[in-house]
Amino acid sequence: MTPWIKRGPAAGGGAPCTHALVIGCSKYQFLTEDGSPAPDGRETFGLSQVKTPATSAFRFARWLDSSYRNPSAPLGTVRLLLSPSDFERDNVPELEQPPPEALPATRANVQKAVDEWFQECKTNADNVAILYASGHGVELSPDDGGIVLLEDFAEHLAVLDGSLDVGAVRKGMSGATMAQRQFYFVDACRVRPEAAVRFQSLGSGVSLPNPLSGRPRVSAIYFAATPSTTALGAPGDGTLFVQALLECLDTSLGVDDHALEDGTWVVTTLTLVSALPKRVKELAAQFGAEQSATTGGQLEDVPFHVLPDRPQIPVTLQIAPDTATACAVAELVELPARLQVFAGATFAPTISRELPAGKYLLSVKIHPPTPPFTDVVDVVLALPPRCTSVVKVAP
Amino acid sequence: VTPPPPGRLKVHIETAGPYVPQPVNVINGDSLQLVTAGTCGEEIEVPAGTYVVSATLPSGERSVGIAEVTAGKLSELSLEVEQAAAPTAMGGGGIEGLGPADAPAAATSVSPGTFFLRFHVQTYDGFQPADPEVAVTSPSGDRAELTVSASGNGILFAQAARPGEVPLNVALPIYGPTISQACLLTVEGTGTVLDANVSLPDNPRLDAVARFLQGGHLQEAASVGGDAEHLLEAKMADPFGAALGGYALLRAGQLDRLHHWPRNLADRFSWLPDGAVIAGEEAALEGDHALAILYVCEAAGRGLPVFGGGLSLLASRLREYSVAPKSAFGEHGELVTEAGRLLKGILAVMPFVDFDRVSLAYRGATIDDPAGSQTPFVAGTEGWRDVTEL
Repeated sequence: MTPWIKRGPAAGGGAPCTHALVIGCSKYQFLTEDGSPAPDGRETFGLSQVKTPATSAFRFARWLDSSYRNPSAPLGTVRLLLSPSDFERDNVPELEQPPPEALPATRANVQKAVDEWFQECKTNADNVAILYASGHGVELSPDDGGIVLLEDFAEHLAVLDGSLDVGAVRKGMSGATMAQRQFYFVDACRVRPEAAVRFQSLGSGVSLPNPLSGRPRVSAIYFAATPSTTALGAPGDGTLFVQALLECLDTSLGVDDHALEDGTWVVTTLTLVSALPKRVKELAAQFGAEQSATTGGQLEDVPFHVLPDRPQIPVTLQIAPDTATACAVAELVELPARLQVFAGATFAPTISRELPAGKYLLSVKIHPPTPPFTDVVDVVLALPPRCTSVVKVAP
Repeated sequence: VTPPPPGRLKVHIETAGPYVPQPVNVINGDSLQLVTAGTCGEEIEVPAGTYVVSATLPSGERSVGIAEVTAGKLSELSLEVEQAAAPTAMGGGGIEGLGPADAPAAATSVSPGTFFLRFHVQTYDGFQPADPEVAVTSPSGDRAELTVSASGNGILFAQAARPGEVPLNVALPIYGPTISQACLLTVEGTGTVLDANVSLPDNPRLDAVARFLQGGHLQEAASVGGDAEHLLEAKMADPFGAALGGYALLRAGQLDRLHHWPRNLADRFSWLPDGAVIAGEEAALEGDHALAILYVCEAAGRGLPVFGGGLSLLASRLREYSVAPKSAFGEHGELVTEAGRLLKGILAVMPFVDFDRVSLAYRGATIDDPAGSQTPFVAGTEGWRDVTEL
């Protein structure tokens, strides 16, 4: 199949690069709209059409295209398989007519894409492999990554023949020249547990042969099982998982608390392990829902994404005691250049700004002089994920 | 020109809880680059300069301070900690926590008929009813705190229930003959579903590792729990601490720090599946699948691991090995069939497990058959005791 994106070293050959496989399935050929049994009585676990997986996959793919930065393995290819639902075609402009390279997420197409992705990933051990899959899913364990159902799920009596077995794909991604940095994002709408108990007798999903040889340095699984099939957020937002993931990648939420030696700031295997589940939970709570995300696999800490600039840090400045706010005026300069960020600011009762990560000098002047409050100068270090600084203006 | 001698930095964190060797990052105050990582209480040698010291606490809170280090001198920094509500170590309630610190201010007594409990012990022979020592320390309207002390041999499981809901089963990381003899079990029903959380006030190191794992802070968990071999060598062994430290090292890819001590854990504590899980996973990651399948099958034969992460690793390896060619396992090739048989038992539990928690927890009315017992609890069932009668 033709990759949706092919560029950089992947187009020229030789140097290590990142190969991504992105799958989103919202439309199921053999499911009804409301989850009622299929007319011919085939096993469908009571599942219905869904509204967000294709949107989520496309959002992630677009992020890879526009924002992903990994200088040690620039983006090379993105294979994209999308089966948007009628809802998404009607409500998400980009999915009304998906890109021609984005084939439907059927078993045959996904098997071919997995095979090609595997072949490209194993061309260089310094490659990075990324798999993102979203759809209905059978939740197994965080170390298996689960099974994601494809568009032709339930076509045959062995219903899970129409699925992607993420765990079995992951186990097959080994060997001396295989990409040693692998990241799996599984964003599944949860199938009832009874299906998981019986999944072995229900068919075999798309997988890879397992040579039982070697292990990648990093093989991280970030897994979310959405209890609901309804969209949370505006059409086009995708699942909570992808909303949280992109926030962690684009803002200070998922960034390490220090810069690398070359001065860059990175999102790493482990910063995502701590930030992503937390953000998923927070977003779910905003919608009055409950959702958790788990992580598994081998999680050696390596950079996943290098930010193009310093991260923007939400900074909150306050003074103590807060009775001084009425007579306190603040000036902030960035060090070492002493570039003024603001002057003459008042606390009401705090000063909140988004500032690039860095070292700042805060000067608080008491005007008019109001004992026992005194002028104070203090260093403010704006580090990810956020900074709160309390300046004492009285003994 | 002789370079100036380095300075030394010693970081302290004053926390309400017992002392654990809290890891800290020392970051250059100008470049904001990581200079070194260390632990509280130790003297960290760094060039003279300004540093940002950052620590992630077991509660998930971050504490940041600024230290000025002078050449040839010792500088000390005390990090301030906001006393936020601490999450429960073994899970439940999420990262923000619904632990004891969140207890309602105006407590009323638990009404009879609110919460019910019973206990089972898991041995090689399966689950048997158990009657551990239980002290109800803090009953209130929607929650009850109980101190559970281990008695007898095997792994203790608590079953918590309230009428109309499928009971919740929680493994308790306590075992009489070891240092881990008691835990705090908090049963609460403030959310939409019944919850039962475990914490270990008498085992602060294990509690800290669990809290770090719960919050996804793997480096910190590996740092605090990484000297697990010492926990095994201690006079009163702490196999649960060793196991949790082992899981953290496995996850973080720090196999060189395991140096095969999980085999000792597996061999010395034959009642604990987790030791064999870790030994099997270590062998598998090293490519020794013949040894790995031996430990993996041994682990599954012992029963359910105490920690959810252990069940996840175990299930994943069983699934992999049950469909692999026998020739891949040398003299242990016959265990492939056994792996398939053991996997079926694990799969009957796994879909009901809450992998968001550290301690193994799953819902099911019958502790050894959750798949066949997703039925609501009805008071009066055999063996259940009302919390108010404990």
